[in-house]
Amino acid sequence: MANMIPISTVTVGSGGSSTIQFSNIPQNYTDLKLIVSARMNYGSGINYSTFTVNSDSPSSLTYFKNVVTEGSATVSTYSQSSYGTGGEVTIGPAPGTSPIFNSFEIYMPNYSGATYKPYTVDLVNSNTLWFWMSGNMYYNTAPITSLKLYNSYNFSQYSSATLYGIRKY
Amino acid sequence: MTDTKIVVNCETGETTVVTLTSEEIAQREADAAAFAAAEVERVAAEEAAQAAKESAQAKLAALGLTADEIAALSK
Repeated sequence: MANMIPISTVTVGSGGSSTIQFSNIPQNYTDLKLIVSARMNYGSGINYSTFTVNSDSPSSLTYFKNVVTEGSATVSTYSQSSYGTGGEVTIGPAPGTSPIFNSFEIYMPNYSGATYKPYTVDLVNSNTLWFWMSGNMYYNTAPITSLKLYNSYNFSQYSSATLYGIRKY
Repeated sequence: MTDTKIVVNCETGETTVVTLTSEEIAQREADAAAFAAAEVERVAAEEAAQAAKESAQAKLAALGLTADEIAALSK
């Protein structure tokens, strides 16, 4: 039975911070899982946070995602080529307009392997009523040793991110 | 307001808060601008597709197709 072991947790302090980075990720697990609960210091609309791996730019990440919005029976489908760069996660808006923290999870199997690395992102945005699932690919054969989340605004105080290692044996 | 990043070293557990470099600030602002532009493009494409769909359905209805027949065409 697989074990999900917390590696590190970051909780944003007063004043906020635009970037959360996990460095020197141990290579002795089979998979990684990142769970984030966050809100942005942003007044309205949708704020796009970016997710990057190692020191690569977001363009090394691609995705094919399905988005469902509240009240819509239709699943909208996007790919990177028609939508922009990969590594996107959508969380905003936040304090002043809503106290809601939103969440997303990223699951990366075989993160230390020497192959391209597919991964999934599941996201719920309670502010904009988006439900989002995406299949993604990190187009690099290097082991994943660093993960970074950043955006143009700040993650608000009490936003948190926990990185877990999955050990199957 | 100072732009900062929180870095946690997963090997040591040490957490540090450091000020972003000018390159990091420029990168994140460029990414945000790219995402905003892509979102405008996506919404426009979605609206155009919806308008085309409604136009096609109206034309089919004018030809005498029932709503069920039109719906069956899109399955």
